[in-house]
Amino acid sequence: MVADNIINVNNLSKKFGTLEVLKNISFSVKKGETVAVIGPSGSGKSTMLRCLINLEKADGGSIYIEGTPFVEDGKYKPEKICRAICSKMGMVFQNFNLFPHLSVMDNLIYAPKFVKKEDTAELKKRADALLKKVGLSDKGDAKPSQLSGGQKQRVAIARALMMGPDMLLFDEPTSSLDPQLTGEVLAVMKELAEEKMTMIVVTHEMGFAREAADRVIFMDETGILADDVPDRIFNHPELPRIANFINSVI
Amino acid sequence: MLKLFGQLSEGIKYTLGLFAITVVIAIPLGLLLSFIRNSKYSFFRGILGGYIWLMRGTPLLLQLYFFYYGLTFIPGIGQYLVMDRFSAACLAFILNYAAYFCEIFRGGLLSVDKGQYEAAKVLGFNQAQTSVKIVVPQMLRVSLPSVANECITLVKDTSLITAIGVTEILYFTKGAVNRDANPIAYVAAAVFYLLFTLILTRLFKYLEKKMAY
Repeated sequence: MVADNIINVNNLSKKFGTLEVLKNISFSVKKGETVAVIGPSGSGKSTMLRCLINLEKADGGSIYIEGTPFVEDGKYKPEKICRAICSKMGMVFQNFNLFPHLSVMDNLIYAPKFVKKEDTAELKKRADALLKKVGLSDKGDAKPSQLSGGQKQRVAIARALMMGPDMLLFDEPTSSLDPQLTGEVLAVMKELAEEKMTMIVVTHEMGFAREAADRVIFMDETGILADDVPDRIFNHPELPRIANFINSVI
Repeated sequence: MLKLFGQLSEGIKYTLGLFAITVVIAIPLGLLLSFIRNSKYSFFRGILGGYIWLMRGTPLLLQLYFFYYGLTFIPGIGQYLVMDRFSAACLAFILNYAAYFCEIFRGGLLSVDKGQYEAAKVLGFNQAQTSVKIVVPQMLRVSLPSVANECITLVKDTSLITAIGVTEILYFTKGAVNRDANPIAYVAAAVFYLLFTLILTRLFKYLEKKMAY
């Protein structure tokens, strides 16, 4: 285990019934890195990501966040400790999961206001700044139903950033968007990557993985086949399995 | 006709009283029960399932008779269970309507997407905060049309308590029809119920608009 790794995953495994979705997955992420996770559907990419933030319970293996484990050899720490450790991470979902009954502003400030008991006036300032960053300054009073998919996802990113996470997990953030709306979300993510936010991005956007990621992890049903810089994965893949996949999606 | 309304109005306090008491107690009670119904405690879920079956599976009129007349005949404790007519009516209505509201809210609860719980969890909300701030507001909005429907049914069900001798509107209506040998009192009563349900319909429409998202 290397000290500057912000995330360490050792031998993570997960079964749904008799189906082994994750088999001895091991990898690590350094602070400030953007890691893209690619591979065919059904390879367990999303499940792996959901295990990292404790939305899914692993059956075996260990996950260390900033050096502290919340699951070690398949044994989970008490719920309170898991929560404290996972609170260092933010997550962006494929289906946005904005709170539909709240305005965009309330979507942003609710968690820090009620979970961290921060001051509302301060939070509004921070929310305004983040909405500006994602290009939605004028949407604070809008309800999620009045936004396009791309706008919703940008609000979701801003909402995750409001909690001041040390790392962000993206679960196919553009998979339910039209191609034309995908660009605006990827632009925000690229900006975050340039600011050295630690990010793990499960994606089918090969352009993003190639251009914005520091490292690409390729997964299929058998596990992690490659963990390398984008240039090697995309331009000089060692395994025919990876070459075939990349040819088929580009 | 106006004179008739004057006579019927003596019954309004019981009609409105029963309506108000049932709404104010049975809705929060139903909300509470819906959480138990969806909880992981299968023992309580089972008991509640039986309760709902009993309340929805038997006529409200039978329940009224049971609470007012039936309880008093239970050997030994019957003498302590004597209630005045209106209290017995309130008890039967609250227990009956709480069962229906519980099922309405349970349906609303099921309609909240599981992604909402996941988003709340990764943002650090605990279970209570997730329920109060995220789930319940959405569930209430979804349940509102069914709650409105149930409240309108309740307005008309209040007339059942005339059967245990509570002097509500229908009680005076029957009296007036018999006394005057004229069915116009039925029309007057119908007008009252129609006005009451009209106001409720409008009120719930307004609420639905206000809570829309």
